[in-house]
Amino acid sequence: MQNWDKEIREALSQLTLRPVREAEIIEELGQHLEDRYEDLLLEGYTEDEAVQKTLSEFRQSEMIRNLRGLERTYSEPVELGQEPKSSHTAGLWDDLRYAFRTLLQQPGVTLIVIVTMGLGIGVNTAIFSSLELLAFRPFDFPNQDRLIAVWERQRETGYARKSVAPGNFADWREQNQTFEELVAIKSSYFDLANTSQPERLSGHFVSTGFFTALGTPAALGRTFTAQDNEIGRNQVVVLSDGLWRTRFGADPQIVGRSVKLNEETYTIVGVMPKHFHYPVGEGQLWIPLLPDPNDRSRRDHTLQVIGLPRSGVSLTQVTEDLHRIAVGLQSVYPDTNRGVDVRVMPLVTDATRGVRVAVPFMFISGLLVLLVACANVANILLVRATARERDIAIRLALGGSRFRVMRQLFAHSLVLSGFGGLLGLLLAGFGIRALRSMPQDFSMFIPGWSRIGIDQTALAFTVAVSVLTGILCGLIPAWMGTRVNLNQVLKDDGPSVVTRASNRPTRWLVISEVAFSVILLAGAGIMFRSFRELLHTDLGVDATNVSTMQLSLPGERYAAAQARINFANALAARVSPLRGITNMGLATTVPLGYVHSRREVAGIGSTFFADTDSRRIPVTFRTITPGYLQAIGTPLRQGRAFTEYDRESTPRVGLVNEAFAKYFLAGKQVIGETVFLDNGQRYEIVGLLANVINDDLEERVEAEVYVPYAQEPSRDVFLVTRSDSTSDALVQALRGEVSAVDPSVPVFKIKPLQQYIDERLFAKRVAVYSLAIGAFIALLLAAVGIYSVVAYSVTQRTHEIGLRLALGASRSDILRLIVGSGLRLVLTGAAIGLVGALLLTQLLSGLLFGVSARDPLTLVAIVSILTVVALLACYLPARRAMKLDPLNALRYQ
Amino acid sequence: MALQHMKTPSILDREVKRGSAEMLILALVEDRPRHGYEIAKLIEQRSDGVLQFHVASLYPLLYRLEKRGLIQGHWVEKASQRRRRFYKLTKAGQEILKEHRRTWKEFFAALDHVAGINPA
Repeated sequence: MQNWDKEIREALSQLTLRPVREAEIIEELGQHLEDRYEDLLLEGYTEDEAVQKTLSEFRQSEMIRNLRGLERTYSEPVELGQEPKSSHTAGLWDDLRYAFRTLLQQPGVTLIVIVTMGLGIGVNTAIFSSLELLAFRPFDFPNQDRLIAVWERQRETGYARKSVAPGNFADWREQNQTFEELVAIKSSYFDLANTSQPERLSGHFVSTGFFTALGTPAALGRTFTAQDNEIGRNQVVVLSDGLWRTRFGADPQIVGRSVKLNEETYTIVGVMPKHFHYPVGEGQLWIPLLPDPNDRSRRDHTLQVIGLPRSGVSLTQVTEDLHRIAVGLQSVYPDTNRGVDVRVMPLVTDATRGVRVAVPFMFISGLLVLLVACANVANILLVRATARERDIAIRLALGGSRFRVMRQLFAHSLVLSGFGGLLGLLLAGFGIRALRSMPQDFSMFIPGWSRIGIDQTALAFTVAVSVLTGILCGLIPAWMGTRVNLNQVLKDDGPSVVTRASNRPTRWLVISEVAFSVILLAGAGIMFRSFRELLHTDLGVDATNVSTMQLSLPGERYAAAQARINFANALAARVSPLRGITNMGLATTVPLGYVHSRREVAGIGSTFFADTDSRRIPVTFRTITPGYLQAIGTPLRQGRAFTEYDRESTPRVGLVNEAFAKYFLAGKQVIGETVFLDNGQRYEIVGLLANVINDDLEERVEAEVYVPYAQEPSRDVFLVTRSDSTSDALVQALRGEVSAVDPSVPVFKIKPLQQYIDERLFAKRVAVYSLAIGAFIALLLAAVGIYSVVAYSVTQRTHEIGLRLALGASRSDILRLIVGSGLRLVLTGAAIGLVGALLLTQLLSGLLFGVSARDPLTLVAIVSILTVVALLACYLPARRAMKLDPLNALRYQ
Repeated sequence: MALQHMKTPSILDREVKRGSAEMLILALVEDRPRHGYEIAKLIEQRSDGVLQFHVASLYPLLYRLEKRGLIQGHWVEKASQRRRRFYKLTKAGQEILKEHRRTWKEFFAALDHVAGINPA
């Protein structure tokens, strides 16, 4: 390629043209002369002849004469090296408009950049919106940041988060010096006598100051006053917004109406605002909790406690205050409070503990995807800036300011990031809508679930990220693009062989993209394997086609044990023969069912444990009917299950699980042994069951004791059925059978056993999915990045490739050359990424289940996937290089 | 002058030559945008070498036409190529081209009537 600028500039120097206009004319005429020169070469002229002929046609004097009319007519002189003064705003607006037009002329590249940025921004916006509501501000009440949850903690038994005994709560309340409000909550069920079908509602008894502590007034009417918690004045109720709408038709005159709950009349005094849900769960009404001066029980742990510290009091001070009280109670009540301490934490932390495990994964995933997207975009913009190196050099040489040129490049990236941000917002909205359309309702244990959406903070965040991305992705290439060596570029015919130094920034951007992708892939892979291990954990139950529903036998009619037994028998007789039902049973609790019942072991065999004996531990206590074990799928290891012959009149029998046997009867015969519980009863062990997971899947397995329902019938039971398949029709049939036995028995919380398991797995599933989606997106973007860098490298090396082909290199040599250079980038990035991945997985090791943080299978799989993707990304431009015509390639500059 | 007659000295006066040059350019960019070198080549090719446009005359003419608003230039940048300036016909240019064509038709008709020259 010849340089015609000297001749052209010489001609134009005799004119007084605006510098920018002059630069454009030089560029245009130079292109014309170059085209003429190329054509003369093709006609057979030698290089020198072609140059001479071309220049002879240039005709300087004629040019000057003809261009005279185009000289500028400015009244003020413009100094060399400066541009005419103009408004910066108008200039930027022109640059933006020019950028917009230019981008439309290159739709492919523009689309890639916008989609890349859209993905990065969209993923982050969706994550940020979700995190805000799920993990940091899940509630709708103003005091959520100040409120504290208080639990009992018992070191010996390992219970770190135990419900509070009424007696302990009373003492905390009386003796504390740090709380403005300390409130107790007791959840319960209420039978609403309002509709044709008895309805059981979940609700809460709340002590004085509950609504004050939360800082949320009623939307209609009022909340409780101090007087409402006095005996004789506590027959008042506050409804949730949902209950008011669904059961009372959103009656605006609801305040003052009466309603029957548990056969007692209550006056409705208020309705709470729409998104008010506290405590977390299905609670739909609140009733004052009466303080019972006679109830100083310290054995029944039934209360949930929250508090509002006084202004200026820290969490540490609150903890020390309550710890002081707990230590005092340990010495005053050694029988019940031995080892009982407090556990204090922010309410938000406590309420979101089920979701928080997913927070770091979502955050890391979003951050890395954004970084990969930015690197990709920066790469593309850098390549474009490099391709225009010569143009930029001309502008700078003719007095264009670096700022002006940078502004133009910067305007490109700003337009791109603006559209990328818009696309990101659309993608984020789509993602959140997909989350909300999930069939399960997680609002029962994830407080902010019902409010999830793109909020204003996330919107502002999106705008900020868009602008920042545009600045970062545009600034670096713009700065680098204007750091040209003007003399070198203007003299240069173009490099014959591309050097690594000239491509360093783009190479390092691709290496960084690959590294981030590897980190995400490793995290996703390890978490996926951990999750898979969790899914395959033996829960001790088989949830296939198992349905559960809760029943509550109400009123005086079921006060006697025999009435309850009769109900159970009648129900079994009706349900068992139902079409599709293979097994059925009743139980007071089900595994993972959020309902717990515990008793303390008071003795084994002939050994009794004193109150201070460390072996006197609580065990899970469950009463079941025959058929329950087959319905729930818990295997029997030894002995027998309960039968219809285990009745009220026969000796007390019990089943224990393997954890119980290991703790109390290690090395001894289990069947035939006797266990004493704190209810004063003695049970002969007739069977040994497999362990069952009752709480979170990674929790330790608890010791369990099962007794026959016929010997200890309770009012509240779960009906558990195993069937050929699950359907709404079957559920309706079961409801019908319950109603046929007794229409006054309410049926509620109907859900498959699998749903309980899914709820427990939700946070971990979110963690895995967010990493996996992030890894997929990052890998895709990295592949695009690799492709664009390799493709650009092929273009830059066209002359070199032509040279190699002319000197005898084969097509496969070229393929190896190009693919090899691309793979070197990928392997460098992979090596760096693996180091990062090992660090990340080490940090996560505490969260893993059944798999090592350095699982070699996962790491090998990652490198393999990456290599395959990289090979594909390199192959396409390499194929183009293979097809180059050597002659054309040699002429390429 | 810009336009050269290869085989015989030009007998057209200055104004006619300039007018025909303008019309040639406007006509060539009527169908689609073209850059300067393409315009020059097309003129030479389609006239079988009779008419030639050199750089010293082509571009000043293009710039004048652009200044008058008859054509509009814009830079087009393709990947890994130098950018080129393409020119397209504006609405005003369309009107002027129509006018040129009518003028030249009338002129040749008059020539035909007087001197028996058939331009077809």
